[in-house]
Amino acid sequence: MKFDGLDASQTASAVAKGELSAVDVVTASLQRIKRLEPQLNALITVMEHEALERAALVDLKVASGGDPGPLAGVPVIVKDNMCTHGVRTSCGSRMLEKWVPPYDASVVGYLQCAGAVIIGKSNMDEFAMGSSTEHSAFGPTSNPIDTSRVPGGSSGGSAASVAAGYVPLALGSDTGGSIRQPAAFCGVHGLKPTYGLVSRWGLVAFASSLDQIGPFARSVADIALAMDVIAVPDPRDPTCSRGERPSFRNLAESPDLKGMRIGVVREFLGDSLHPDLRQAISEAESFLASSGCGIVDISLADSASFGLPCYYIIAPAEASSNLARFDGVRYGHREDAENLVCQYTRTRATGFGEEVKRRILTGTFALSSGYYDAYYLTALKARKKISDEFERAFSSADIILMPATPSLPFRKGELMDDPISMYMSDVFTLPVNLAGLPGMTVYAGLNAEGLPLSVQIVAPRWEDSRLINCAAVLEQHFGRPSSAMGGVY
Amino acid sequence: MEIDRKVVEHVADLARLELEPEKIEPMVLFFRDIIGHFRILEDCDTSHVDPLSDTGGAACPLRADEPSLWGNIQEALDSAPLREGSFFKVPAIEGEEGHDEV
Repeated sequence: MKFDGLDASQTASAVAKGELSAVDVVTASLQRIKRLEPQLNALITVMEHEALERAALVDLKVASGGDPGPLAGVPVIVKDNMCTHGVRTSCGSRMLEKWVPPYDASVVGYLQCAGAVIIGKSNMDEFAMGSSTEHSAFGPTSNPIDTSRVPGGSSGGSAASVAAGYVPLALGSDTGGSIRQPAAFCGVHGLKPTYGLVSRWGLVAFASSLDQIGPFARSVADIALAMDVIAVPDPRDPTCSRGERPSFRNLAESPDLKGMRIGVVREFLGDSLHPDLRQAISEAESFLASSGCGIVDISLADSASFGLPCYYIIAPAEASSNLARFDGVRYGHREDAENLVCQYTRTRATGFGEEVKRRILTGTFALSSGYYDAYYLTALKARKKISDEFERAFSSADIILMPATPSLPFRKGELMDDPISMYMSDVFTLPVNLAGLPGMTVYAGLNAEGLPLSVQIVAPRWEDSRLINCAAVLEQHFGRPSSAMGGVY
Repeated sequence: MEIDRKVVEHVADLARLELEPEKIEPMVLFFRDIIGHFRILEDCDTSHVDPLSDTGGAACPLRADEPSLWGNIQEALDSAPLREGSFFKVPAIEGEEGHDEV
């Protein structure tokens, strides 16, 4: 048996039965990384030594008859904003280029307890601010399907790693679309769970009222398996719910949508949406109707009009506060200076990249005296209206179907000099974060040029299981993404 | 409100961010663009709406107020760019170059 092309569930099952050794799986994964990484630059750090050591421990456990866990020997990549004990966690920034955390993020611990082998840390837009993975101090990542194009962002390295078959499973973080937009651009599935479902302890904070960790995979079954492992209560994160979670894996195995009402947002299907993506929505709608769902039209007018400005006030405001900790004193990059204030300002000037500076300054402006009410407070009120609007929509629909992105993956460099156009690529994902809802990008095949298509599904808060159920049904129609699609091969 | 160099320099000062002189003008232009975009919110009727500061998801239960030991104090201190013993080392608050103080 060979690891190439297997999903996480199949890999774990083969390792647990002794049909594959975890060391062989990890070795195959490392070989693929060595072969493709010069073209992709999806990883900031490859953890070869640590991964082989951990894989050997998994094999020992199997040999001794112990339970190696539901992710036994599965190589996994985590975004480089999740702390890994003893392994650099850079956030794609010069500021943390050499920072080695003294602890693991909760999700890293959960993965390892489940038998997974963390094999690398993925490239990302600096501090998760960006939609193309071009704003990384470690250089841009290429889209495996067409290396002249971006993989999306900010979790572009994680999405590209799964699309390129480095690993069957990766974790990203999503503040305004940073899992769902790169999943769409790289042709894989990506889930942003309900705010509060997955612990963020050990995730370097960007915008704390919006950030959430979630999985990328090439099958819905693997998304469900990952959720069973990472979506557990964590007292170390006070925003992490202590409520019970369903078995996501069981739902993925026997999906049933009969009687579900699917709400289609007509405002999002206008001329600004790429026609191939409009076609994907239409195809998903028809298939769901033929699977026993009712289709209803819903309106998200406030989200459509006010989502973007609302998000680009709130997220930078929170970021300006969260990133105040990077001052060259306790960790990270430092510039020497004649006095303390000069040390702060110079350290931050040389440690942060241009996009991070833009966001810090925007957020500081929105919170500053004289402008707070006009911008930040108004944005918080608009956020309430957006949240209420979703709640009303869910009184007539069980799941919302809408696009994940307005465009197909754009070319590298295309939007780098036009930050506001770059921000627009999150227009369909960020309202979901503002309302704290779960949202998932589901792969929807390739267009005539071989570029990936996708749809986004959104559920009420804590109803992430509905998304797994719906995605599993859609997967029956659109099929699974292959680990050998596109130009990089 | 006129967005000019003075506004951007003031905000940069508040954010403890040194901006190189050639970066100020592009930032002024960006500010004008993004603030123009924010003005879309003037069309949002928020007259009877309370601000939403969290999404009302998790209950945010408080932990028991019990002291606990952090296991890796040495490793945490090792992350500091400059330290002396168990202290972080910084320059004098109003010092001249070469006069680090603990």
